[in-house]
Amino acid sequence: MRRPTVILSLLMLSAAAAAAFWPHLFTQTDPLQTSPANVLQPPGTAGYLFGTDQVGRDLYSRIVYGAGPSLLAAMIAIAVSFVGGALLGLVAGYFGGKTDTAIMRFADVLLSFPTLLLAMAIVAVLGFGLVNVATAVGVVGIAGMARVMRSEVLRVSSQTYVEAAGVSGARWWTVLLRHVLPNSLGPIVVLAALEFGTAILSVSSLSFLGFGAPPPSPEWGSQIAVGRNYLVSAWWLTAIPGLILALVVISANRMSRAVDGEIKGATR
Amino acid sequence: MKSFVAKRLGQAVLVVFAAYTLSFLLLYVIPGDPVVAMYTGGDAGHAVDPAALQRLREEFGFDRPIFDQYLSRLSGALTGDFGVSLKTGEPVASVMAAALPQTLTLVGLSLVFAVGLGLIVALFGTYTRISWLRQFLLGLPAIGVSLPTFWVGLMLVNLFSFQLRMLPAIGNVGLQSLILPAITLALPGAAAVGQVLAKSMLGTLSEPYVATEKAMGLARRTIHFRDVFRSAAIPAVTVTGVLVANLIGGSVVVESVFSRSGIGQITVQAVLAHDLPVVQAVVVLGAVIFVVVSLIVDLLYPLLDPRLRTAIVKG
Repeated sequence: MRRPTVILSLLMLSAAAAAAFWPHLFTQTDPLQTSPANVLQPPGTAGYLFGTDQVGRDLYSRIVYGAGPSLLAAMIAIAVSFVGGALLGLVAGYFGGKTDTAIMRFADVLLSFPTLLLAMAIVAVLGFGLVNVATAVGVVGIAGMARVMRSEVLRVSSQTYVEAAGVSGARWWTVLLRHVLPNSLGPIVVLAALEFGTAILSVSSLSFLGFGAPPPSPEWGSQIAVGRNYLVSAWWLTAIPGLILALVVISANRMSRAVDGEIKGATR
Repeated sequence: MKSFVAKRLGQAVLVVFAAYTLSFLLLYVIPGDPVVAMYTGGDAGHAVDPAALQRLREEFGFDRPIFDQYLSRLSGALTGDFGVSLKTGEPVASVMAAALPQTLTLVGLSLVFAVGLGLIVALFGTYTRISWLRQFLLGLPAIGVSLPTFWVGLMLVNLFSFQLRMLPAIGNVGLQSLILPAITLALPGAAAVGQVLAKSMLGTLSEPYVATEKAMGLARRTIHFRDVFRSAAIPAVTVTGVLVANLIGGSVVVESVFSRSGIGQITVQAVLAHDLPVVQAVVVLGAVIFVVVSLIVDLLYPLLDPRLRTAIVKG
């Protein structure tokens, strides 16, 4: 382990995950507690590490409490892509023929839409809110996952042990669920990890545009959207949450690449 | 060669048709009732006079059988009629046509910036022998793809418009108002181009012919920028379609950050108002642009890569 950036990324992600689950470990301050006497205090003001916002809420505690909704939404998005992609890819790869063609052409068409526009169209149908935004981002990601899953299912299905299971009388769904499915998940697990950073970005972008968590939620995207109104007088309201968001995404991308590299290195 | 073009053209038309159909299914069939969706915000709970809803349904034709609606909307779309906005009653086609030039200019300039920046980073990152500079340049793309576009835009506005007062913060007037949005939008694209090209350059640099050229005494500069670049550029050209699609999607965010009028702003308004005909037009437009750019790239391949010419003639 001579890679300091990987260790830094791991630390950053652990901190973000810990803040998502146990925000009270990082701050005793209520992220919604207003303080009219301390409005728009710059970072470094006594008691306010990152300063305060337009109604005197502590920016540091808002960022800590924002980790939960921001990361949870990205997890939901990845989960939707993963489950949808795994199912479609499994069915397409295992049954082949017309089923395969239909599912894969469907995936091609999904991939021909600009991702953000398609996600917005889905939000227009589902309605607003962080869970709906996350679901929309997840649905958009299904096609990519399905492609990767399908090609792995094709590879695994042609292995001798799968054939052996079929020949020795296992029912088709046993073969599918006990042999093909678990052995085909590897590549899309890696893909899910690689897509996590992108999911955080997509969700926060849609949230920034006003489709996600409504204020006063401390979710990072909507927090920046509100802070935008004070860009000139209080730069920290946009700069600091955005910087944290960027650092988390950079770390997520760095970690998933490192893990991906380790796996590829190990199998080589 | 001719059959290759015809086949590829046919595919493109088919994908656009499928994209239109899918968007129709998503926006008009799945929600059940677009009029209710629009007036309750999809979240239900608002009480609206049922008679008024019925009148709207009849006015926009949502009371007809779904397949009937599909056919009439599709034939309308083929003749350039995308229906009317549920919110303003204006024809969607003219609203889009008015906004399209602004967005296309932005996307076009961003594309130039993205390709230019990506080229510089990848070419010099793989060329330089100064170790820290190399690490720095080749590390940039990974950071570029991780930055939230809306945040980068806000930071640039604050720095260049409010602190240094060099460029306008918002609006559509003049070339100057285009610079910051275009740079903001270009960054993730530049990172993507840089990433693909750097990887491809590094791969090509270890090809035997590069060693031969070195042994023959060709200048390192000539090998790097002429020969290696030419064959390494092809994978980078492949991502152009996705790149343009991402720029179109990203323009929504950037136009919102810089308060520019254009397709992006129309999209945000339409989604907020559940104005489904406008949303559909935007999504289909995005798909059409992606398909057309991919088609152009595919048709240009044989010009870029002589090896493909014979392959296509044979195939």
